[in-house]
Amino acid sequence: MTQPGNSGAEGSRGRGAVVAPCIAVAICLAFAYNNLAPYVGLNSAGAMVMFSGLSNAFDTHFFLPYSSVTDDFEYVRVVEMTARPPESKAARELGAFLSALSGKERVNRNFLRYQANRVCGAAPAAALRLRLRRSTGDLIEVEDACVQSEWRRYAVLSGYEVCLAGCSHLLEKWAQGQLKGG
Amino acid sequence: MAMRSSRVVAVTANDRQDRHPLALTGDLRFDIFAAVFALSTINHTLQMLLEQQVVGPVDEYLERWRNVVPTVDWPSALGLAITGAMLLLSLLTIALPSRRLMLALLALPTLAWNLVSPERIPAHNSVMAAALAIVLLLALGEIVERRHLRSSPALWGGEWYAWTLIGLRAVCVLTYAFSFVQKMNPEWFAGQAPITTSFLYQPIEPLVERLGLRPQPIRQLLMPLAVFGTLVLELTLPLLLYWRRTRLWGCLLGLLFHLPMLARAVGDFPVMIVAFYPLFLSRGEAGELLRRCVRPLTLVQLTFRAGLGALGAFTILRSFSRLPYIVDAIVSIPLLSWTYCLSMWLAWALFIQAGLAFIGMLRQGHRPGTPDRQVTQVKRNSSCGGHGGLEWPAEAKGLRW
Repeated sequence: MTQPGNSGAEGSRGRGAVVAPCIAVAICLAFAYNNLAPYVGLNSAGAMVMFSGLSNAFDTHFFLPYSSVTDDFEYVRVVEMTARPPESKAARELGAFLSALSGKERVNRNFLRYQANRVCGAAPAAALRLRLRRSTGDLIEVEDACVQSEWRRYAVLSGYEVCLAGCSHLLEKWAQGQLKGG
Repeated sequence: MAMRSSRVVAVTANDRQDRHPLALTGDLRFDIFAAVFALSTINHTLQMLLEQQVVGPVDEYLERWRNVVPTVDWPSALGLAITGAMLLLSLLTIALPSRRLMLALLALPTLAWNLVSPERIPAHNSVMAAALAIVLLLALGEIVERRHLRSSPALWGGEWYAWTLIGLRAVCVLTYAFSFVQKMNPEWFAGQAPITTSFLYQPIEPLVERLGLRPQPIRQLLMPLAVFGTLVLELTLPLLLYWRRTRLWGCLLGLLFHLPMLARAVGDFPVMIVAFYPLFLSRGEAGELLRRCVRPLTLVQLTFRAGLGALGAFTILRSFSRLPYIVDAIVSIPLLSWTYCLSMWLAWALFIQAGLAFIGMLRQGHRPGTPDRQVTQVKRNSSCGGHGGLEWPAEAKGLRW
């Protein structure tokens, strides 16, 4: 292994003198963005919130105000869900999960969009009707998520938890194949 | 500076192996960082594999999670192949001398791994991603430049490596800074955050039980220490590490701060963040640290370390058996569990050994501004046709982890 000098800054002849700092700064900025993006409702994966007690919605911080620029990752309460055909596995599982949640629990819209895509992809003529309640109290009516392209798109990589209060045991049961009902 | 620069270039030019574009620039600080970071990656990988056993056999974990949360449409076999590549490259990073190259290669499966970890993206994933992205991209830049200037190695610059160190230090500082910032919420100050006090309480829990004391008052006593102590350390550690006069104290306090997490069988983040500490040291300090870690021990020193090692084994095994993902696992591969415990215990031993080395260095007044006799001696030797003025202690020369 070649040994550098003490400062490591010798030989600033190549492009490295310009490109290297740009790369290092860009990655540090990306790291900072990843930690601040959830405060404006943008996607993020792995913000330094472990053990912090900060709300999953990032809206309980003392001096970083939450101000959403997009609804893509907001937490909503599913008031009603109607799927066609109702007997499809995806629809039954989603129905069972939503009915097992406590009345006040809210779920992330990215998760809902992923599940909507599963339900809609399960049959050629599938349809999914949703009534959602936002944290502001507004009601959102989605007549058929299967024909709305924005309800079929989701982020594969997202650090947002599925539930606002927490539902990890329920999700584990679902992945174990032990979530029954619907 | 210019003289030292030309001497370094001369040393480089004299070594035929170093003319190879893949023989990347590095030093002992990076070697220690890479080896410890690789150990934390092993811990991280084993822990995530164990966590998958909560939903079923690991060879079908992606298929199971795909029903539940957003996931790529890849088979579990591919997820396991990526995991295997991470483990293999981590081991090679520890074992082989070309650690910067190995760590750059480790970045590829580690970054891809985020896609095959459907149920959660831990906070330290972003630290891993940022650190490995810096190592990978700046190593690539150095390789491309060297290939471009292949006929004239004297023109090979050191700025790619210098910025690798600067970037990695910045990631460490940002990690502590954002950990502090994100804790500014009422839940943290109410002590309701799930593990705030447990990190401090759990290591002393057996003693409390044996003495027949009530746990709640002790937890109440520990809570302010956990809540405010964590904030003070997260805020001050970057400053302590950066300032030359306090960086040994910073390393020691950081080790003590993260040790309770390790005792609670959290084997990934504490090891990963501690890996960054050697990057803040001078090469002389890093050499002294390594020398103190590998030097022969007296019987008393050996017994003392064996006692601390036994304490670590006890607390890690006890905490591990109570972890939710171990208790709730519906399948279990004992080899995986034992390997993870062994790997965590190795990290514990490393923390103890490094902590005692830092205490020794502080007691002997080892200051970067006033190098000790050994370093001075090496410098004197170097000026007589030695190692081109590089301030390596004699004991550290030729030592590779």
